[in-house]
Amino acid sequence: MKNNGILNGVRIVELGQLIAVPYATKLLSDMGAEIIRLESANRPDAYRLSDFYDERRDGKYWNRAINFNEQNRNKLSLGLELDHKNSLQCLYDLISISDVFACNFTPRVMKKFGLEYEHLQKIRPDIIVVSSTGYGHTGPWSSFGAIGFGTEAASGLAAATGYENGPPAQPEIPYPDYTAAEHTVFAVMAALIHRLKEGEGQFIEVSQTECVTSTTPETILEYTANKRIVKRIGNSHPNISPHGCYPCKGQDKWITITAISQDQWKSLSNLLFPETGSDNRFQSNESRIRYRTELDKLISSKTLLWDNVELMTTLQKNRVPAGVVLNGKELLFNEHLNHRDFFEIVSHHPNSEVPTLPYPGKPWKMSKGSDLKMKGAPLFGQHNESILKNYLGLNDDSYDTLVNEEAVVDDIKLAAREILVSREAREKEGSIYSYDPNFKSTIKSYFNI
Amino acid sequence: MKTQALKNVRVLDLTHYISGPYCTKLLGDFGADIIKIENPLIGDPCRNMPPFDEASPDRDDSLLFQYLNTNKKSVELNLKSDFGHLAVEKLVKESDILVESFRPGTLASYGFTESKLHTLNPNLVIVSISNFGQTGPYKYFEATDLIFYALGGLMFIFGSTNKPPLKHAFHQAQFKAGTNAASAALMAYYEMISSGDGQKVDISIQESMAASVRDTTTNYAASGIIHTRQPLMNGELPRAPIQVKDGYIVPITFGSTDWSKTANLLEDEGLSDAKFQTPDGRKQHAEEFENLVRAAFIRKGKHELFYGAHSHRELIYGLVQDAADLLENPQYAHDQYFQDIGNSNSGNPKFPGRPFKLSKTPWDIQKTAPTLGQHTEEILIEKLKLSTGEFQDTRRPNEK
Repeated sequence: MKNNGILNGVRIVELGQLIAVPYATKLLSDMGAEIIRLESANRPDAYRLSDFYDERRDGKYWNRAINFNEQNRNKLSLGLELDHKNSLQCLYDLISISDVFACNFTPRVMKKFGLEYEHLQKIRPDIIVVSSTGYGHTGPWSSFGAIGFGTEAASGLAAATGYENGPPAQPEIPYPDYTAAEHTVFAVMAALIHRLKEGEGQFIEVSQTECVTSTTPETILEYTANKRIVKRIGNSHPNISPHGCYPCKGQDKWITITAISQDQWKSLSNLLFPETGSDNRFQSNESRIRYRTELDKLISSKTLLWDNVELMTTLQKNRVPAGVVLNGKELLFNEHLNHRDFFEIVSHHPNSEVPTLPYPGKPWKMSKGSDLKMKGAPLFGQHNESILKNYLGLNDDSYDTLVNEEAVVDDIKLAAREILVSREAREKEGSIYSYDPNFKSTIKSYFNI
Repeated sequence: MKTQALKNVRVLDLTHYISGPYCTKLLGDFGADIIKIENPLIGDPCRNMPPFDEASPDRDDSLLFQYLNTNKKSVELNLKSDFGHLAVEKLVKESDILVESFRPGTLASYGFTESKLHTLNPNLVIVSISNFGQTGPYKYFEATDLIFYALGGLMFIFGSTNKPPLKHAFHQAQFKAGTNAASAALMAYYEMISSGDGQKVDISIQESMAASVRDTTTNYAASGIIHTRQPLMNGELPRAPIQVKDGYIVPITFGSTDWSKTANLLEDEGLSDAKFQTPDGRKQHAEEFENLVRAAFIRKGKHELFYGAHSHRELIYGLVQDAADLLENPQYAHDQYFQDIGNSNSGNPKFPGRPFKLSKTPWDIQKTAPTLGQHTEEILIEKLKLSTGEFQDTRRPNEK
């Protein structure tokens, strides 16, 4: 039993922005892998520069960036400007003592810095190199920049998603980045197993778009087999009715309900509208699909009278699939997730001025080696000295030279910024659902931190 | 043929529908040996899930099943029978990874508790995939993909603020959990190689969703903010699909820095008006701005805008593609992404191919999806040396 985690001893150098690579390495670091994040002050990770703890944008606010901190827990930060010739040598030296190099630069930039697999393999023959890009490492679209809202559009998923008769729709997160990251973790594990058995490294190419197409086979199969383009039908299901999201008592409160078997349908209709039990339109699934609009209206008129949690509990007692639509706060306080200790409680470096916080946990629970104590995300450049001196053996003079010529950096030269629109104003204009000024004490007392 | 990464990894697959089969498909497509146990006569219910190849004689043969069950061998086995029990005991001894997706407690009720499985094979990695995990107040809750979107936190931030929350089409939550299950299986297997001890992995589909909804919970914990769905345009371009002449495009801009580039791309004089050059100005004239923007987009074609945006640095528009577009897409063609890896006689269906590339240990389809029980005899009689008399027993459902 390794109490340092299953992946203790695996060292990963990460040159990744935003989500697709950093979320993958987060999942690996949660299991004990050591992640060295390369950071640049000239071109900081966009996640360092948005959404700050309690919206404070004074001082070194990039150390308080909440999405950055959530996603980069346990990692080490090395501030290295790759435009300096000496920095690149540091990076190569670091790769020579690492197991994985993960990067989401376009191939053009990888080549410019000598980070293509063929070169890195000379530095470390059994290195595993990951390239995760929007559309692919080679090919006609490989030079195109991308973020999740673009790759989701290209993948085929967006075209099939959306309200009936409306435009394609996407959620308010860069969804494909996570799908790609999850596949990247699998790919890295497969490559690590192969390396453990055969001693051979390799090159992993992830196209974020193609990963999503791999989890969306229905659309291409329906078209190639039957020449049908899948229609957007909101939350409805082509073959099951009811299947939808219905309003409940309160502001923006919703419940999702479906009934797959006839027994589930009977339980649902007995509870919500026993008086329409004999309505012929709703007797069979086929007929319910035909009268879907009428049925959804009827269900909505009844669910509006219910508290959504109470209705979910009642329906689930009768084995009817039902779930309330949880907002961010409700998800954080969800009784089931917290019964399973889903959220990770993470303490931050005192200089960050961020208190201990609960963050989303791992998508798996393992009986061995997955209960590591989490460390907070690194301050920008926090581990410059320890990595360069202890890992690479630089002496004080060489280290100081790198610092003096600003090849190695631990500060982003950005002035404090004003808050453009206050949280109260955002609540009022409807761009956020709500702002709770008492969130600090609520979090502290619920999680006992 | 190059060697595959998971060659000689033996997987006993007791899963059905989508998440479990996608997990074992990933393992199998990268070289693991998968033995899929199916309910006698009925089989994996996914065999009845659309889409189907409707014009072909194989129209009862689910294409989704064919996609999810490549590189697997199918054995019909009644787990409730004495014979089924014996056969599974033997298979457990010859497996590295067991993946199951029964309702919590069901496998134990068949006599296969964790301790029993680890007595049979101490190296075994046991992966359980379920709706809400093996513990907790929701553990017996019924769910479909719709319910996971609601209870996983993605639905509340999906759609328009003036409409009900929305979910993606199809079965994304289950694919997500299947991918995570495959990764977790390999992590446990990796650990087993060095320690020699197996372990138990608990995958909750709800948690797979909740782990990847970015800042919904974190924004509340760190700033007291609860996010919502897509607000009205209000002076900015939507970061959402917008209609153009022949489809939809996603105009992605970062803040207001590159507004002039967008105005140039749209070639609309009205939008170059000084009053739209600042965020405040656009907000002040939000309605006029929105009308002009929508009209400007509708005049342009999707490819013109997409390729035009990418020839301007920093504008990284998204091109909304349906299945017909995907088949014509030059990048997918370059990657030879779509492949005929099914069983259909018509040869029409094209399936998603390799999800990513491993240069030394490639993805490969050596076997298309099995017919129900196709390998029952090969596995039970030839491999496990069970006698034919006992074998007859496997096809009798619901015995005992």
